[in-house]
Amino acid sequence: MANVSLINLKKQFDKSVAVADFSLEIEDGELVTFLGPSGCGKTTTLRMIAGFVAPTQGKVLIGGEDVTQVPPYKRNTGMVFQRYALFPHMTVSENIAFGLEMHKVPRAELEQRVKAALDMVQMTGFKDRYPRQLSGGQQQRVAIARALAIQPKVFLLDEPLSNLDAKLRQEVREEIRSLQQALGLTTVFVTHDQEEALAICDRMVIMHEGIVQQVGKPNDLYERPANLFVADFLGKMNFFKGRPRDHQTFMTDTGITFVAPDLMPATHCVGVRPERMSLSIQPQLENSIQAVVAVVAYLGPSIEVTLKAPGDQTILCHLPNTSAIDTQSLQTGAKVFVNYLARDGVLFSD
Amino acid sequence: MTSSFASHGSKKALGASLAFPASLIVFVIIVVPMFLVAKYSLNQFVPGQVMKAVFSLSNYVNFFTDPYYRKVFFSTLQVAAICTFLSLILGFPVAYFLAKTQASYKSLLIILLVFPLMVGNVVRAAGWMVVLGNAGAVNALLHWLGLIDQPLKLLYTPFAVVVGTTAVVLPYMILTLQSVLEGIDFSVEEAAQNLGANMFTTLRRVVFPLIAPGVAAGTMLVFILCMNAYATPVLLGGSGITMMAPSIYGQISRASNWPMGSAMAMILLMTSLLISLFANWLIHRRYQKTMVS
Repeated sequence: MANVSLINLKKQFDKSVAVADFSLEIEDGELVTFLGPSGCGKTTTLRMIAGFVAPTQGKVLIGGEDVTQVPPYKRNTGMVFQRYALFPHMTVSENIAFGLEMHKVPRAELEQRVKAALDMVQMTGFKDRYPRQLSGGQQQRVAIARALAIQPKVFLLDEPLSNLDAKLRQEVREEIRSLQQALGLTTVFVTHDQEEALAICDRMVIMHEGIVQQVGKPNDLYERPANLFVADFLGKMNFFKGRPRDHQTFMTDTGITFVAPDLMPATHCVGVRPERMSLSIQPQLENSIQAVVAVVAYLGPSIEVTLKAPGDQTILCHLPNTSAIDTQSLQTGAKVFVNYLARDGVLFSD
Repeated sequence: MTSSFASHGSKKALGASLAFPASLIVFVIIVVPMFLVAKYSLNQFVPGQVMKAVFSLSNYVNFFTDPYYRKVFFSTLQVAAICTFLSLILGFPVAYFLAKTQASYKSLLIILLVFPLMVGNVVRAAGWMVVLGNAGAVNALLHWLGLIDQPLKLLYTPFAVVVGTTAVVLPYMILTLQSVLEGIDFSVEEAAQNLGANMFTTLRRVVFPLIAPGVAAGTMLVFILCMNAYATPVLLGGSGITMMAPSIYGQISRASNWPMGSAMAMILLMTSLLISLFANWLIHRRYQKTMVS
């Protein structure tokens, strides 16, 4: 395995900029997810690492070696494609052996490595099947085994779970993570699913319109989003637009005042995660907003309450579904207070 | 349940009734004449009369024992094989490019490709005559460059027939190959490269096996078109080379030898059919694994 350095990567297709000035250091054995809506440039960046897309500017270094001009077949990256991309005319073991043959691995060692790769993804019983005889999850396991059998320097996954159903998605995701950790694989995982990205990674990169929005550990990004895009893309957030009145109080455009520490003159928005809000009949905590219950949605583990505050401000509140919850008073039209701790307010001043 | 069965049945009946007019036309204008040709081919030629209805294989025996006819037969096979091979070699890169390109002018390129098909073979052959003739473009160019003193004989040679026929069948080959190539998921190529295969190995190990059945179909189509070519060999081959279709026309129209002409037509038909069936069987055996049902 090796570390990967992306230095000022840029990709332009005709006039549209797919990736603008992307720099990142991926450490040896680290799993980094690229997250963003479709068309944000995450797949293009992955393909630049694999060598399928030539950067307009910038460099790709794998293990300290500049591979920007190296063709894909000499880069020794192991890629898993969104639609598996197994060779339909080869059996499972032939698929896995292909890369080893390309790397001129001697016959005896090849067979042993194919077997090891099959064992690794628990597909030994399927070695003589053709891809079309396998389910989606099994095909994806074979694709993973095929990519890893060549012992790549970097493991690349392009939305590998998007064609699997929800339950299987989680299962395969956990398998990928434990394999990655057991083998110490330097991994880049591209996804548009924020929960998937949060759950699997060491660090994540959030992209939007070709520009890196924020890089960091999942909890950093979730708790301290750098801007409104990150805050909104990674989970849900209530935004209160306004301006600071002094360095302790924030006044929203709708006329509500909040206590907020560390206010800066440029702060124009306070964001609060729905699960950091509580409801009560009397005002509680440092910040309370009077509101009217509009919609109550039962989500299972939590209850999502949509409220209307004065000034047509919509507030979303997630209540944990405990037996203590008073569903009786949660009726549409009920007048309640929405409360949150001042330290749970995220300040935006970009 | 009952209603679904009923609707299934009526759908079938509807399908059959829709297919009926076309089937009738095919039967009347193709199957019936073909039976007549088969029947005539067993008749005997009597000069002065059209033919005498007997049951004899003498026309077939004549065909394969007479060196002249054998030469016609084998040069037809040869020209068809060469043209098919050339169109495969020349057509593949074009088809590959067309299948892969995301360019906005892709449909324009395909229209350009189909364009020659809108011009009749005779007109196109006339074009080649202008190009290949003694005073034609090629000779004029070579003369101007000082490479030749006397014009090269290009027209009325097998070479001219090969060039002209290849030009006729090339669009068919490209369109067939392109549709086959469009059918494969290009990410398998990327997967192969990612696993260490260069461009050539990727084509050989991944792309070719996947497209082989389709390529075989395209090759067969083109081969049969070449075998049965008429206008191009007549106009560009002249007396320099005789192929089956012009020869059949000569038998029937000029020599008035309907039985021999019919026998030759049957031989041409059977040869095309046998070669296609054989190739099909071969491909199915070789690439059975590839066939994704």
